Amino acid sequence: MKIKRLYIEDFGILRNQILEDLHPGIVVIGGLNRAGKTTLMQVLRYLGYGFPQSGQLPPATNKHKAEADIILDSGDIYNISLSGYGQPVLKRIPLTEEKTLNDEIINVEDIFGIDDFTYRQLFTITLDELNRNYGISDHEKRKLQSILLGAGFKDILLLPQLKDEFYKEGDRIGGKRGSPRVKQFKSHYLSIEKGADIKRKALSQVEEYKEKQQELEEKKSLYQQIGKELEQLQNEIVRLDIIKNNYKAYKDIQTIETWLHSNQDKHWDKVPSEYELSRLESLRDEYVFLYKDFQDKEIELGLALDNRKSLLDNKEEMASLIEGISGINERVRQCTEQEEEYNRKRQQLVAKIRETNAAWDEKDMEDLVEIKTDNISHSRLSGLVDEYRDLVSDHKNHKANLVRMQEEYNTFQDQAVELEDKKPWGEVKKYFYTSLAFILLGIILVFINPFIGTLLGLGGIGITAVYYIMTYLNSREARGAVQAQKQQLEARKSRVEAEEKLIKSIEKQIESIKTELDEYKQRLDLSIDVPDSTLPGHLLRIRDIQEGIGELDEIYNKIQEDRGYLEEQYNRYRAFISQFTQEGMHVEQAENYSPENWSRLAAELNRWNNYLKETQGIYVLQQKIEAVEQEIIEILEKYETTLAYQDLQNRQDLENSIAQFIDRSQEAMEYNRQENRLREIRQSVLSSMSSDGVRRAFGYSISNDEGRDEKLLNIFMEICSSYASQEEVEEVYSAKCREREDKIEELDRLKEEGQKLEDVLERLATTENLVRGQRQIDNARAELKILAHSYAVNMTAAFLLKEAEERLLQSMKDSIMDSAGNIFSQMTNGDYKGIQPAEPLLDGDFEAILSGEKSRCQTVDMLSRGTREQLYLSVRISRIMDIKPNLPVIIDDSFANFDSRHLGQSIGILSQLAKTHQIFILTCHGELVDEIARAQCQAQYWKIDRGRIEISDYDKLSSHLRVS
Amino acid sequence: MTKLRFIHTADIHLGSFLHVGGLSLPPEVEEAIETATLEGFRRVCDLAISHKVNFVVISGDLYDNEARSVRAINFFLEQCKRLGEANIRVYLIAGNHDPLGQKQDIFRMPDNVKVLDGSRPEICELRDDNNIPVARIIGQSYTSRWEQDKLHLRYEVPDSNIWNIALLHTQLEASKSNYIPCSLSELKDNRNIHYWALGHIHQFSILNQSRPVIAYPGIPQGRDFGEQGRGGCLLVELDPLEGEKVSFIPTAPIIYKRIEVDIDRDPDNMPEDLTDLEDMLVELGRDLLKANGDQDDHPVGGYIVEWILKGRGDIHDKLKDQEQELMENLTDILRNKPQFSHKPFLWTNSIILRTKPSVDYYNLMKDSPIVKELDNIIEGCLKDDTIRKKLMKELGEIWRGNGDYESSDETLFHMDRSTLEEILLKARQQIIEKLVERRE
Repeated sequence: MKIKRLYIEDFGILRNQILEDLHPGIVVIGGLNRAGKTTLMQVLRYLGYGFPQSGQLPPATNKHKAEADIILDSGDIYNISLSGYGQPVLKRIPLTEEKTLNDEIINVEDIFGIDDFTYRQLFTITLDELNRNYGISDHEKRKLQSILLGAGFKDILLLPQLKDEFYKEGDRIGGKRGSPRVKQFKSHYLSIEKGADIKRKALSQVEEYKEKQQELEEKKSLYQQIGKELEQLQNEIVRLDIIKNNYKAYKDIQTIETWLHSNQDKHWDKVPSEYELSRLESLRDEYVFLYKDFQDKEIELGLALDNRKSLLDNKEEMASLIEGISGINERVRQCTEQEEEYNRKRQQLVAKIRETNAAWDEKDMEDLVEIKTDNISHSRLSGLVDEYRDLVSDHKNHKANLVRMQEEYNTFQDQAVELEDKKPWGEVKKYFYTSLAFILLGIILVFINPFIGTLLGLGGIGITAVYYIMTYLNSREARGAVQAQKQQLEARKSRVEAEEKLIKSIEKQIESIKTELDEYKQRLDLSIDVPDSTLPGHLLRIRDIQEGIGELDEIYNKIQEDRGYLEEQYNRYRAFISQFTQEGMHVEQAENYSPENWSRLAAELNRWNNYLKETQGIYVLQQKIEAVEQEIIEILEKYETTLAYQDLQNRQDLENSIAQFIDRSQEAMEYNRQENRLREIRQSVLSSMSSDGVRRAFGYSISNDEGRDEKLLNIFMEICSSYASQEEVEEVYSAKCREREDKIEELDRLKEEGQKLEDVLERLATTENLVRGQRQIDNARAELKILAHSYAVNMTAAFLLKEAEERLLQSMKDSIMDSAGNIFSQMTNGDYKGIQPAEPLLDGDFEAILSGEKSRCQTVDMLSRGTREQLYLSVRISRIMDIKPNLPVIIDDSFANFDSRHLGQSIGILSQLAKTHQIFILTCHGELVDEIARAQCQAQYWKIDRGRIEISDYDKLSSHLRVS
Repeated sequence: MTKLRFIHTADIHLGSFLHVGGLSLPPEVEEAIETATLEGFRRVCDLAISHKVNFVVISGDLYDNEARSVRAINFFLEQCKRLGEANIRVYLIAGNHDPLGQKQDIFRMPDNVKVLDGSRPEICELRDDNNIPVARIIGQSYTSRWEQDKLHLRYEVPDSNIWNIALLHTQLEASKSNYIPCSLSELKDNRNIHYWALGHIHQFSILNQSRPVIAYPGIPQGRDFGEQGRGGCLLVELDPLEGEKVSFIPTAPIIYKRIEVDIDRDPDNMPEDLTDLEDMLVELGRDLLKANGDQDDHPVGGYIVEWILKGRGDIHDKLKDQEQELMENLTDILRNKPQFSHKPFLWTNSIILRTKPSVDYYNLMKDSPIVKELDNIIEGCLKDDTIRKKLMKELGEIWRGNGDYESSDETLFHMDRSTLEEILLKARQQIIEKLVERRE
């Protein structure tokens, strides 16, 4: 960028000064002191940035005002105007050949590209700028240093600040060392530690689990043991309880067993029962009684033993005969009655025969029997008699009827003749003729009046026809009546003839029946005179007589039969009785039967029958005695007594034997009673031990063992034997009960402890705490991680900034060593070969490197003022050359301390710079102007004098300056 | 040799917990997260039973000393009992996380479980029903948290007439490793071994495809964002005719997923406020859950998601000043969405803000000497150990975690490369923003 035109309207001493067509290279503006050079320099310095309020500006008449036309490297021309403290106003000045303006808007900042401080420090060079301590702040010094150091200078200045900010932020989060135990990390760290602690404890639960498990097993084992002890104790208590309750039984058992032992001889394997003994006693009494009765009855009967035996042998027959007596008596009675009835009925029958036919007598009885009345049917005979009577009556009736009928017939015959004259054919003839008459009449009239003729003819025929039809119908009814009359006449005639025929037939039947009836009379051995109507009566009477005769015969036969039977029975009874021949008792019986004989025989039999009964009574007694005897013997035999009952000779022996037996039995029964009592006691003891629990307590649990009870009792007796008394048992029992209570209490306590352990185990088996701990760690870690991340980002940013700053400064250093060093070397005419920034780069200064092998460095303080200013100038020129765009450089008498040699070198360098940069050199030194001229630089010369600026040339300017 | 089928798993870290943000989780999510490693192992056992394998090998780190709870131990015993009922044996070696000789070993292993010796390589013979040997399992357990000996060089089997399966818990680093220094070639050199069942590295990888097969099954259930993706186990079939077949079968019920969200993916529909951002994440979450079909027998029970918001937008300026508070707020909103609280659930672990202002200051300033220099330094930090160490010094104690979450202090963090890169770029961005701000 070059300034083409500069117009200063109002700025200090300079008012309405215009510098046109300024040279793009070196513009030398010479003037004496207070001519306005510094004022001009200030205008140029602030041209792109505006006049600062705080700046020590020369006063304005009205208002600071200046403007300039500038040509950019692109060729574009802009006008910059400054007014007061306002920002510079940029206007583009169109080129002549340009018709329209480019729309691109460019700011002053874009044109200058660097800030005012940089521009001032680098491009507007006075002796102040070449003196490090000319009154700027430390910050400004650092800034200046960074500017002087070069590339990215603007940002580099920010780097330490940003680095600090990031570092501070990092420090706020995690402190300087990033320890998790500090600052914002701390709470999360503690939370993690806490979680880890929970987790550690939870993990130690595995060991605790095993320990507790072991402890639980020990507890279980212990309470199993106590359980067993308790079980044993319980068994003992059960045993003691049984013993306590049965101690008396134990004593009884002992006593009874002793008694039984000493009375073993009284033991009977089979002992008669009480009932048997009582029975035996009653049998004995019965035996004695029966025996006496037997003896008494035998004496009383007094019948020989043979007879008794004979009687007994025939007792069934006797019984049968005795039983038959009543039947025979009845038969005797009936027989007598029948004989009487026979006689009575015979007399009655004889009377009846005579009554029936006087011709008959008692002796004709057999003849009467011969009449065959069976062949004659009474109903037939009665029917014939009735039929005969009816036929005779009918005959009479029909005869009368025939007479009446004949009379009626004659009457009808007369009526029939009268009706027979009226005949239908005659009526037809009449009709024919009448009709013909009408036809003829009609025909005739046709000729006169055909209509009337025809009408008359046809009407006449019709009317006639109607008339005759009516007539005919009437006459037909009359003909029907005649016809009926004739038919009746015919019928009556037939009936008369039939009646006559019937009468003849009846007569024939009467004749026939009469003959038959006569025949019957003959068959019934009756006189022909006997009226016909009595014939059925005779028949019945004869039949009655015949029956009477039959009945008599039957009665007779029965009487005969009964008598035969009675005689037979009589003989049988007589024969039976005759076998009993006891002297003085036998009665001779008549040989033949008669009712009286029978009565005697029957009485005899009854007498013997009574003997039999008594004999039987004795016999029964005898049998009873034997039975009792037998039963007694059986009882005795049953118990296999040593009694010699077989040898019993008499009643007395038997009675003695029984008495002995009873005594012995009673002893055995006592033995048995004791045994039973023992058994009962034992059973009672056993039943108190019947439950499985008790049996187990007695160490016996096999429920179906055969000898179980015996073994149990043995155990019972054995245990009982260890106690001297009931009191002792009870005492031990109480003690054991107390012991049991203690054990139960201990067991409960152990179980409770076991349960607690199980609860602990259950809790330990859960992962709840582990999860809780882990979750707490995870969560705190997650939060911590965010912080750690943030910490890392901040610290990394700080690290990056620190590194970047160092690296950039290093590169600047290199750059300084490179370009500024060369310029300085050239400027010092090779006295120095280079420049290097001192450490620290931004806080330090520069050092000059002396030429020579050792490359010795000299700090700026060690340099002469001129050399120091050359150094700073070299650095600035080096930086000016680096900065784009190329901005105008203003040098305000900065070479005052340069000797001529170094001045020449400096001008040479500036002339090189002028190829790319517009350089305003403000000076009051003619030597400088001369030097510029000597250097043959392309330069433009302006004179400034008391605020007036005008174009000049080398000579004039030089002269002007030298004049002063 | 007969056909052999077995399950190869490792690094189960049974009973350890999934690292997840948030103190109050919905019960269903809480339960799933709490039991995820157990469930992962249960699924491994299910697979063993359903595939009727001959045995299961566990190549170390069955437990995690940091979470070796009674529950985990009891659970393992129960599962082994199940395997035992199916006549499946279990061979395992202890790893660096569950070395032998710990007090917790007081729990007695079931009969079908064999823990290989820690003093020397132990060989177990597997016999068939006719008592004929069909395979050998060789391995040696860790007895401490570090094992610097080359144990594998002592894995000697008499022959290769039957299948030889070697269990080794190694980092597979040839030198200076605390976890059995070893190289792939050393493993390959042992010609008698048919299958190297490795453990320790939590990512599935097959390092050698055929004899000897060398494989890491990875972790059956990942536990943090360092173990992203779906964990599983290996179903190995050794067939004398068809060779070796190794199939990876996913088992993890829960998946860690880091989802990058470009806020400027749709320039016409850029989120302008927190609600827009919420809608965007809900939609993406829904898409994720929708895409999760029941592809296998073991469906995904849920996702633990870290959202990373990227891209440029005006919203960046709104968010950056209250980044932590707003991100926590948005996280809470997403966590409380009912549609994300049921199986398969989606639990928002965190939301990372990596958005940038709509104006690309970096691009504008990339030619400036400072930014160029910053880039140089960042590159140096990522590539040059010296400068990285210099940076790490500045980052302080808190970033001195070693990345092994169990052996590391939980109050420290590990600076992995991606984190470092992220921090560097974020620092650069903040510097540029501040520079721009100051210039203005």
